[in-house]
Amino acid sequence: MNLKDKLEKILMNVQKPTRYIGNEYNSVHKELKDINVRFAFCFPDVYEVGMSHLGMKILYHLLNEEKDVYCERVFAPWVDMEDEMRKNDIPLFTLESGDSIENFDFLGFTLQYEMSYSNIINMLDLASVPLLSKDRDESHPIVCMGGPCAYSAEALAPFCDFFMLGEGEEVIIEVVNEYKKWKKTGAKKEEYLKAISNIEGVYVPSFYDISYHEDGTVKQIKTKYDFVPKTVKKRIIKDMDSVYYPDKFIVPFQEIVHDRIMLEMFRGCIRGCRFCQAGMIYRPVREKSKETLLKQANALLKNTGYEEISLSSLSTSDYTDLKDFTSQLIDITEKEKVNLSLPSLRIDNFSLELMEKVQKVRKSSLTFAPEAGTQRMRDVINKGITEEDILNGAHIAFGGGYSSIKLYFMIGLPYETDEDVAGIGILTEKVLDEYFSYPKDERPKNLRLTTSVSSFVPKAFTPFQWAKQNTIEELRVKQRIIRDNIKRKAINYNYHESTVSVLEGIFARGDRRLSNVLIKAHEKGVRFDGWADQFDENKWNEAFLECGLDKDFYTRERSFDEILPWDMIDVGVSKKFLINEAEKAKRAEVTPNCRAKCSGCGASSFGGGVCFE
Amino acid sequence: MSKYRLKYQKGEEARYISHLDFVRTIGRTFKRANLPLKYTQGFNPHIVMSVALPISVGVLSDSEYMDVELTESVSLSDLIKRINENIPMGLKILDAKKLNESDKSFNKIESAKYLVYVIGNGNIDLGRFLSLNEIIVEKKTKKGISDVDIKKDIKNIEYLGKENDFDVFVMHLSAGSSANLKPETVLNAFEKFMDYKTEFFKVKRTNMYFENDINVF
Repeated sequence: MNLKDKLEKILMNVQKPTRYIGNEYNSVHKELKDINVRFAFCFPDVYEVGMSHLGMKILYHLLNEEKDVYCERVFAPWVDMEDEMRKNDIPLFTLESGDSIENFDFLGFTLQYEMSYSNIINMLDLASVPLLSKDRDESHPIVCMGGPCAYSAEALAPFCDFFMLGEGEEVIIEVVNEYKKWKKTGAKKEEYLKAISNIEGVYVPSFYDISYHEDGTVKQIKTKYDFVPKTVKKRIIKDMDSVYYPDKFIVPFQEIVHDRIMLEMFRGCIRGCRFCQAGMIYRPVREKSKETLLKQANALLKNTGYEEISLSSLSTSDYTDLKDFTSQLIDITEKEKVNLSLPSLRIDNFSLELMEKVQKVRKSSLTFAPEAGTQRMRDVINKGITEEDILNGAHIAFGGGYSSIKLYFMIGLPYETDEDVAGIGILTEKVLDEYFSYPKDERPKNLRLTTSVSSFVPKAFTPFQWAKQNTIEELRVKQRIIRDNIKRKAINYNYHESTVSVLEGIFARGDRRLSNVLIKAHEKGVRFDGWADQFDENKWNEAFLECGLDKDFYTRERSFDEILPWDMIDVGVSKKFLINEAEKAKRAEVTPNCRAKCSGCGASSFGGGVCFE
Repeated sequence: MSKYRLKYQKGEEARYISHLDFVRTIGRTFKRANLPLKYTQGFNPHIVMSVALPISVGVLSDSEYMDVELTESVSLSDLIKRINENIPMGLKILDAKKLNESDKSFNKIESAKYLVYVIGNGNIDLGRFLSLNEIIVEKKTKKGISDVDIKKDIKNIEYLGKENDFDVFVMHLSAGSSANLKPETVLNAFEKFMDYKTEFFKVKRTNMYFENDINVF
C-alpha cells in the first residue's frame, strides 16, 4: 500500500489532519528529475508551532530559490498521529512530496527551545535514521542543526553531523554548494565534514574531543585535526536591506499560532538585559530600512492575502525610525483593510497614541515586563527601567481606557533576596493604586490586573551563565512570598509550575554526556516535553539515574575559570565582557544600552550594525 | 451591488480542511485575486460572503456553492480566472453566475446527493431496507446520544455496484438547517438493519438541491 492509501485510512482518526497534508498556497512543489539536493527542514514540534516560525519561512523559500535544491517541510507528528504511523508502518514523511526522509541528502533541525530535543531523537527514530552520527554512513542523510540553541547544544552533538551557528541565509547555501561538489567525488562523509569545517559558522562536533575531570567538569576541548578552528564564530548578516527575505509566505489552511505576516524590523537588541540570551546572541543590532520594510509589507500582503501584519523584533520601540515607519505602514494597512499588531512596545505616550490609531476601538490588554520587583533587582539584571516608568505607564494606560494590564516577573534570579521577591507583590499593589488614583467615573470598568511570575533559567552566553539555578523548593518558597505580599483581591496572581524549567536549565547548560540521557529518556517514550500534558518528569528522572548523571551538577554555580562545555563557540560577545557584566550584576550596577554608550562587548568584530552607527 | 454565486470543487489535496479552514482560505484567495470585495461594517470588517451547507472534514465534493458580494461588477470568465490563479491546490472554481433577486439563498437548501464508497461486509438488500417502516438509529446531538428515526430523511439510495474494493452507493438525503442526515449515519443503519458492516468509507458530495430537487446553481 502506498503512503496516500495508508494516510487515507488514518487521517480521519487523528486530530487536525491538515497538519499532515501540505498543499498550502505558496508551498513549493518541484519535479524530482531536476533536483540535486533534497533538504528536509525539520521542525521538532507540531505543524502550527513550526509554521509560525519566521526562520523556517525564510530558509524554506531561500533554499527553494536554488533550482536544483528541493527544500521540504517535516514536523513532529502529534502523539495520536505518531501512534498511527508506528502502527501502520509509516515512516516520517515530508509535506511536499510525501516521501520518507530516510534517503534525503540533508535533515536540518532547527533548535528553538531545549524542550524540543527529545522530539528530534524521536523524529530520527520515526525516519529509521540511526540516531548517532557515528552509526550513519554515506547512505544516510547528513544531519545538521541550527537556531538559537545551537550555540550550546552539546547534548545533541553526538546526533548531529554539523551545526550552523548564527544567521543561516548565507551559510546554508555555502554548505549545500560544498555538498554538491563532494557528492560528485564519491568520497566519505568525513571528507565533506572536513571541507565545511572551515566555513565560518560551521561547527563539526565530531572534530572536537572533550575530556572530563573526575568531578564531571570539562578538562579539555581538543580539536581532532590541525585545520579545524579552535573556536567557531557565529555568522551574521551585515546588511539587512540586501539579505534575502521571501516575498511570499506559505498560507496554511488551518490556523497556526502566529497566523499573520511577520515583518522583521531588526535583529539584535540594544538593551543588554543580563538574563536574556537573545539580547546577547543576536548582537549587534542591525535594522532594515523603512523603505525595505514597506516594500516587503506590500509584497507579502499581495502574495498571501493575510488579514494581519505583525512587527517582529526583540524590542519594537527601539527601531530608530519608528514614528515615520509606522505612520506609513498604517496608510498601507488601512487601504488594504488589514490589522496591524505591535508587540514589544514600551508603554509611553507615543506607544499609546500609536495603539489608539491602530486599534480604533476595542482596547485589548497591555503587557508590562518589569521582570523584577525592586529597583536593586532590576539593576542586577540591567533591565533599565525604573519604578516611575512602570507606574507612569500604568497611569497613562488606565487613563487611556485600558482596563486589562498584565505584569510579567521572574523569580530565581541571581542575588535575589526575599525583599526583592516581596517587591513583586508590592509593585503590583502600587500599579493597582494607579487605577484607584482616578475618580470612579474616570477609570475604565472591568479592571483585570494580572501578575504572572515565571522561573528564571540561566542560559549559556549570558552574564548569568555561571549562576546557580534555583531548586523547585526555593522557587515554591518565593511563590508564597509573593502571594503573602498581594493584599487585594482585584489582583490576579499566577505562576508557572516549574519542574520543566529545571530540565530546560540542564540542557541549556549541558554537556555531551547528556546525549545518553536523551537516548534513555527517548527509549522510555518521552516526547513533546514542552507540552505540559505530555511532560513526564519520572521518565527523565529514571533516565538520569540509569545514566549515572546528577541533575544538580548541571544546575550548580560555576566558577569563571571553569572550562564551559560550549567554550569552542564564539557568539561575538566576549567572555571578558560577560564576566564583567556578571561582576556588575553582583554590585547592582547598570550598563548603558548600545546606543547610549558602547560597552565593548566584542560584537563590533562583525563589522556592522549599531556598533558603527 | 453585484452578487455572484460560485460553484467549486473540493478535491483530494484539500480534502481534510474544515469548513472554517475553507472560509479563511477562500477569503485570502479573494484578496490575492484583488477582487473588489465588499466588507461588513464595524470594527472588525469581514468579507461579505456565504457558503452553502458546511462540508465535513474528509468529504470530497464536485459541487460546492458559495455567494460573494463585490462592489463593482466583474465578468464571469474574469472572476473565475482570477480566483483560480490564486486558489490553493485541491480547490477550484468550476462555474460562476450573477445572482438575481429571484435566486434563492442557501438556507432554502433541503437535500444533497452523495457518492459513498464503502469497504464493507454483508448483504446489500436496499429494497428491504428502504421499505422499513422506521429506521431508528443513535444520533449524537449537542445534548448527548438520542434515538432518531431517519426514514423520512432518506430520499433515495441506490447501489451502483463494486469499484475496485469499494461498494458504491448513491445517497440522496435531507440536508440543510431543518433536517440533515449524514451518509455515515446511514451506514450505521446499514449495520443495524441490513447486516452490512462498514470497515472504511469515503464520501463525495455530488450535488445539493432546493425544494422539489431544484438545482442550487
